[in-house]
Amino acid sequence: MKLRDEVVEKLAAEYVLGTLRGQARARFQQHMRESARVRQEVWFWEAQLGFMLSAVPSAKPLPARHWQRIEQRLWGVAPANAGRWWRWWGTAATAVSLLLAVVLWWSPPQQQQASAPAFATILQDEGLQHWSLGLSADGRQLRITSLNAKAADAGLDYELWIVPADSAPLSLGTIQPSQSVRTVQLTAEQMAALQSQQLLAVSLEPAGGSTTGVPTGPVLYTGVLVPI
Amino acid sequence: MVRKSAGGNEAIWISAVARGDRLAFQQLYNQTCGRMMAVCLRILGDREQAEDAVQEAFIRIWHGARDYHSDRGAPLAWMLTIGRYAAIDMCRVRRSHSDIDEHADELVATLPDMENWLAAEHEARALALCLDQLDGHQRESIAMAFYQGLSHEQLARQLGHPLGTVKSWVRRGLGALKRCLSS
Repeated sequence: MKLRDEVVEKLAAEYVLGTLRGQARARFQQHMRESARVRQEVWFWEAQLGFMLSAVPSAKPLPARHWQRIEQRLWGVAPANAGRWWRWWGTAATAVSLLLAVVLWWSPPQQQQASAPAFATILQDEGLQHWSLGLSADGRQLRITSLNAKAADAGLDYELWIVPADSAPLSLGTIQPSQSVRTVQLTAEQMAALQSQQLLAVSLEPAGGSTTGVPTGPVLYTGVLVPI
Repeated sequence: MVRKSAGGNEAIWISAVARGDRLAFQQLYNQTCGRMMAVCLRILGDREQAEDAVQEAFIRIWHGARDYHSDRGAPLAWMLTIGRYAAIDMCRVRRSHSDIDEHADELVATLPDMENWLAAEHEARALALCLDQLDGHQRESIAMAFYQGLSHEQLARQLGHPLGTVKSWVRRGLGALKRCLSS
């Protein structure tokens, strides 16, 4: 059944507000699944009323057992075994990735290394590994290894970013797949930003990198630095 | 308080979750579970149920991260909206108001300082202006329904007005808000 526009407007608003309940709420969700027009109206209200949520002061973070229950529901990780290491290495893919990161660190084409990596990650998308990153124990060097990354199209470059949770992204410069291994000396600001487990991301930018100081193109690959 | 500069970052974190990155998801959880809890606790008024709603919300976020896009609002608001829905879905089994634990009751009874906050946020300014133009009854019933997850019947009881009156405050308030926001 197709709803008239004014009915869609009224129901979408009350759905997002939460006053649409019971059977009526369930029926409206069915309309959402079937109609792009209905979804669009819901998104309008979610985006607008969503601003009101920022006025809610945060409660204290929840104890760790709540996260463990989420892990268990999503991936069947047994909390009893969920020690730190086990969880970092939780999946075979992650374990292989990180081993690879270590191996790549230790088998460079050139000279000796300052130290073994203390943190590493593989930047991937859909399970395909594109870049391996290793942060030295002293936190001063980031080693970037190109794995399966393909050259960016003409006029474009890959740019690597530190993406802290609570401050603006920080560029680590453009990276080229043709340069199989590259070591970046980190600035004090970059070192500080990498101290906690941060998300690293690669975006596609105009040649030479973003001129605005933040990613402007699509984010292609991401990974979180973890201790190894 | 959410820092503005982090808005773009949260979208990148959600894109990492959409790619199936469990560690990014855990970090995002660590950063946002307190806020999620606050939103759910206001609606459910019961700590244990709110914790269940938070859990349900993050399960939905993991599965829904691929569907996030900027039309759906700011990334954090999108996540918290999922939490609101999870809590509202749980209201069916919600305890009566007399069972609400003391700590939560205090929280539930007070509305956040919405207007001051909205007025200060650039992106929320249109909403703040439009809310400001609503009749006081309309604004109050919309804010109570939104933050406390109240149904029309619960609103009527709390405000001490007939159901029909309260329903029309909500309906007309939302209608006026839509016209104002679209103009």
